[in-house]
Amino acid sequence: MGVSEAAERLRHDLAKAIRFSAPEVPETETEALRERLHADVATTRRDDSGSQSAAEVFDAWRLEEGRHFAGALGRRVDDIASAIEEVRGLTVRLPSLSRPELERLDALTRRVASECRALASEARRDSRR
Amino acid sequence: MSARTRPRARVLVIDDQPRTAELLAREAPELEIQTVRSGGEARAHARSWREAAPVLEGRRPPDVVVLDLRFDLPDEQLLPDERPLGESAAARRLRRERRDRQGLFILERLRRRRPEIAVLLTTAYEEIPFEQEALELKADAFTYAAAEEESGSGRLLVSRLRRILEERAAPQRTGRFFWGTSAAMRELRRKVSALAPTPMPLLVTGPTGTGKSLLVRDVIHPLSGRPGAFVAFDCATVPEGLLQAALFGALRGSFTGAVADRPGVFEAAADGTLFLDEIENLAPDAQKMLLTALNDGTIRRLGSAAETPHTARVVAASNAALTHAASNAALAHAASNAALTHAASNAALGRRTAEGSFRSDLLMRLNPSLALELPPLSQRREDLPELARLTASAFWDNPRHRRAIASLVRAAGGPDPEPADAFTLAVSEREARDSASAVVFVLPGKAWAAMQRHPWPGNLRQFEMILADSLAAAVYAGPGASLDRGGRVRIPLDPRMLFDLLAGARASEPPPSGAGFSGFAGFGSGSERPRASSVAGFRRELERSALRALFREAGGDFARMAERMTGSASAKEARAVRLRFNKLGLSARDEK
Repeated sequence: MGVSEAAERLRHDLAKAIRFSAPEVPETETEALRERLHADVATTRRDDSGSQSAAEVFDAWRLEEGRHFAGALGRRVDDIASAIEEVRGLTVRLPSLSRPELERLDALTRRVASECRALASEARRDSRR
Repeated sequence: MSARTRPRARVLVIDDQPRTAELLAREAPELEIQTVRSGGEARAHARSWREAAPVLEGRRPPDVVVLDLRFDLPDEQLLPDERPLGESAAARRLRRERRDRQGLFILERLRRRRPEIAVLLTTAYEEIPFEQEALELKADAFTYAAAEEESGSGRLLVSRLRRILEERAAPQRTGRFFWGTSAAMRELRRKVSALAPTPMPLLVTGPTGTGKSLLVRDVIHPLSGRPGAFVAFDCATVPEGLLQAALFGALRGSFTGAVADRPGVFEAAADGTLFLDEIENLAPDAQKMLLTALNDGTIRRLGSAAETPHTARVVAASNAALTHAASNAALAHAASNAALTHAASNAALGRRTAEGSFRSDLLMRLNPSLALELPPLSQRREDLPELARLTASAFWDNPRHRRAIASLVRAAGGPDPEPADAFTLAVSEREARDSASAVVFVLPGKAWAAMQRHPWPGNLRQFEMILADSLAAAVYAGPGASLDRGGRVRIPLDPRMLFDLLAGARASEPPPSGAGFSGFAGFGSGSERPRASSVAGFRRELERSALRALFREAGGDFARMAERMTGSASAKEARAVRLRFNKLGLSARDEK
């Protein structure tokens, strides 16, 4: 698979899913916010065999495709990875996260989605050169 | 085909992931998310074509399908042939391709069986990689990329879905103008709503019989809110010498036979809408005067030295040929702003001069980039069932026909068909059997299939005429009506007559717009036939060669290429051609 296709796959599997149910502004009710983040971050992809968290979706993708990304694109993947690390830590504690922590997690989902989109755009631009 | 009010719109989600269905269930409780049964369990989404097919073919098909593009499924569930692919490098490539475009395979299969269902194709790709194919398969495309910036991707999907359902629920006719529910017509409806209330001149394009004048008379003029009259003027029917007087009026004695002062159509349409039909037939002098009228807002009666202001809003209509001229004009305009290379500008201007009987400045004044394009009927076949139903309704509502039908019904022993919704036009025996109406016109399935396949060169007008003729033949010259076991009166339509009418329509067809184009002719000789190491590669090379030939033939103009390929030179089509051109690794610069 080429770099562009690999980046598009990440966008499909992670960027689309990690903010799938998000409203324009975070929910005012804390439990509603927690519930939505659970759906988007803890059970990001699901099938008959179970579910994968956002961090697991990224890990699986990186294991398979990560080697294709070097230079500026590689640095972009590293940025996503660092955001995902923080997401991973917060996801584990999701049931007990405070409101500020939930808001931080929400902001991280926005950052991951945005970084994935940027990666796909840059990879596509590179492949056209 | 009887009209019934549905309490809840039905939505079928085809997606390997459950989240879209869950989101719709949560955020849009007014919708009925259809349940799929698989392996003894019920699920709110179909994960594959195999799971979706029974719902699509069932008695309660969905109103809208929400379809994902990419499916992570095992080989045995992937279209087109649902078979194991193996683990060779080629098999892995094929698997990836099938997964990436599985939504299109499903869409293609769905369209063959259910052309009338709206499909919202969703993808996370910023540029929809298969946009052209999706458009050809009449899908609304929704890309999550645009949605992700602020709000969650799923929430905007819900609002897009609601909009599609609202548009489908909107009246199918405004006056005598038929909208239908095809994606192209829904887009046109949005555009008309935005443009009709403005004072700007408009251009309506589309092949004959698509309803250009009905659109202006029954939709644009009423929506404009202008208090003046709607005045139609056919530029093709007035002799050149009389055009100026007809358009702008004349003073007594200004020409032989002008025995009194006479207003022109501009004055008749004061504060209203002046519809100039077949504007491509306007003589050069009249074009110049019209341009002045549009630019300066003044007109001058023949024989008068005084210019007077006018308040008519001009809407012009033309067949598809003018769109090409418009695109050339746009190109020339852009070129004059030094936006294009010298070579391209020369090519465009040369073509315009060669073809150009129409002033580019007048075209530009008619806002060709905002042109309202009516697609040919052959490009909106999903609208045929509704068009047939409305045509039959209009026939039924005619008092003379109703009297004739009533006497047939009485002769068959049925009750008087009084209520307006007491009839059905059934397009198969099954529909006839299922009908709850007192009177059923029965069109045999094979005749309806032929109508669905027919190219309809005369478009809606021809379709309505042929169906109305068939209904009239059944009522006035058919074998009569009969009472069936369910107490319904059946009036059969004669398939042979319908086939004859279709054959007559086919015999009078003009040649297709691309006929005679030499770009594809060379392939038969073998001289240009591409070679490749695989069928897929051959197909790709064939497409590359065709596009290169077309590019040369069209002088590097993508709008012109689009017109040759699809009959439409719209910016959207031109963009699709350019995207495909680049996707195949071709470069406009290299080809020039």
